[in-house]
Amino acid sequence: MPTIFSALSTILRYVFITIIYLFIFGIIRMIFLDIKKMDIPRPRQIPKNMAYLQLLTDKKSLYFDVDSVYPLDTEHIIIGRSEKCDISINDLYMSTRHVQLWFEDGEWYIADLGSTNGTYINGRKMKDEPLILDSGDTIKIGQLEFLVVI
Amino acid sequence: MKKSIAKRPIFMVALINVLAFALLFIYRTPLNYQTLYVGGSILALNLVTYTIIRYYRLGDEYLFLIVSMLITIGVVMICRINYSLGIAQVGWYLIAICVFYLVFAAYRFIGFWGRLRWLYLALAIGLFIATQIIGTTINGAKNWIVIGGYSFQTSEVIKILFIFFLSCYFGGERDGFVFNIKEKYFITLMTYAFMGFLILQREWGFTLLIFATYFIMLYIYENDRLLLLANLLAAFFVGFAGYKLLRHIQIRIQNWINPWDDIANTGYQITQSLFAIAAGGFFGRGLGLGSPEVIPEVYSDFIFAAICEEMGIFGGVAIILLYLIFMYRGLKIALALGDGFDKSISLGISIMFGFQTFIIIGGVIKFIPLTGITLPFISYGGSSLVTSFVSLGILQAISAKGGAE
Repeated sequence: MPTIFSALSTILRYVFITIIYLFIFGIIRMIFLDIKKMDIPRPRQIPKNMAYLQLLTDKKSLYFDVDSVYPLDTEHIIIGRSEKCDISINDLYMSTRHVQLWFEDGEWYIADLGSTNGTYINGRKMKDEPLILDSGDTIKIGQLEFLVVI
Repeated sequence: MKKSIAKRPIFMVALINVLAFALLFIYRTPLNYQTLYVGGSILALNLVTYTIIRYYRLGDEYLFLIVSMLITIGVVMICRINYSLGIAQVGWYLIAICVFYLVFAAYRFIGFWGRLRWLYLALAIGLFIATQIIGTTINGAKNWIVIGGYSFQTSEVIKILFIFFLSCYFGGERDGFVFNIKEKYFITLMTYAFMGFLILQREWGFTLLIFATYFIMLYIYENDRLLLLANLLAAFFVGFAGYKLLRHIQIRIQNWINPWDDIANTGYQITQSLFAIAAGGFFGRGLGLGSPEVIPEVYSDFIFAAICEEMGIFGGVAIILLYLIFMYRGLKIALALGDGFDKSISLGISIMFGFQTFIIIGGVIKFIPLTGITLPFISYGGSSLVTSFVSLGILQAISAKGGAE
């Protein structure tokens, strides 16, 4: 028994230290995202505790109308070029029904609706399966980039 | 993109908890199933509180996250050193969490804390006098009051009263007069009165802590270089007089400069601590494989040496980093607020946590002369743990308020 214990303990000491540093790294990362989010103040028209999409792309460079903020005020939202979409943006690089967002079990999900040019989350092209959005994530659709604030 | 569960910090707290207590479970034979209960209760308390804070949006979630990691490491170490103390610490942690919620609610929903300066002063002086009259001496300091079999360290309560008292002044208008004395001089006088009482109780650590907190608060809020300089000179003078007159302080300074002179007696504790840290090396000897129990008071003041021995310098530095982010979070909460009582309180609490950690870790590694004070959230001790959670509750309430406005 003592030898097993000392062998285990000798190995686990590396595990402990690794986990503690991963923990510290995780917290620092979360704090960093927190600060990044705080740089852009919450727009006045958005009620507290409501999630919203903040436009990061410079509006002046665009030829079509786009709001700087889109509140996520219903539980199911489709973004696309069609006027039937909940958020309709006339960006030619966007598909008719481009991407959908929905709220389920306390989380916001995102799924690409088979768009032509794809959807990029934090700079990476998303695959077919839905993803859960975190505050501070960025979504790139067509020519536009949005910051998710939850 | 959501991080997977395995990447979430709270999961890592849980993982450390499970692994460490599983290891402790097979540490002593015959197997003691209570180890698992201890680990389980700590895990449950951490998870439940974290979930409540996150789900009900009770302000900053990082504060408690960091604290839960510190608590986990602390209880693991205490259990490893002395089993019955570990079980007692779990009881204290349960009480501390209850106190945390109570303080949170009280601070969150009562708004007149900034107008009770005379109450804080009266309470503090009352506690000082009570300690002098009915206090009990434990480890050479007459600073404990025993009520119904439970002893508590009054200076732990006093340090919080002191922050409240200071904040009533720094958070206010700051140009009034008290008994024809300018407020800032009145505060200075009162600080020295607090220090005087603490010196009477031989609480060198707390004396230093109170002075450092006062000095930094003064530096932040007042633009009075002369007063700062006068304070430094006074501190130097008091320290020097203490060194000349008091045998206690002479021994401490001597053991700081050269503990090897009297290694068998007064230098024993600090030299054992240095041996333990040296034996640990970079990665430590492994939980349960060192011999930290040779250090006197290892479960309270010297727990940092035990952590360094069994988890290595990397473990020790990790602890310091955790305190660093904790303090950063506290200062961040203070910075986000407008001037006022809340800002001053959160500054005071963060500064005090920072200095308390510095004073004891500095003492244990022989960086500064040793003064007995607990390592917040890690050391064994009911009064220390409960008052640390009182401070945490206040910070949490302030951050929740700040978010609501």
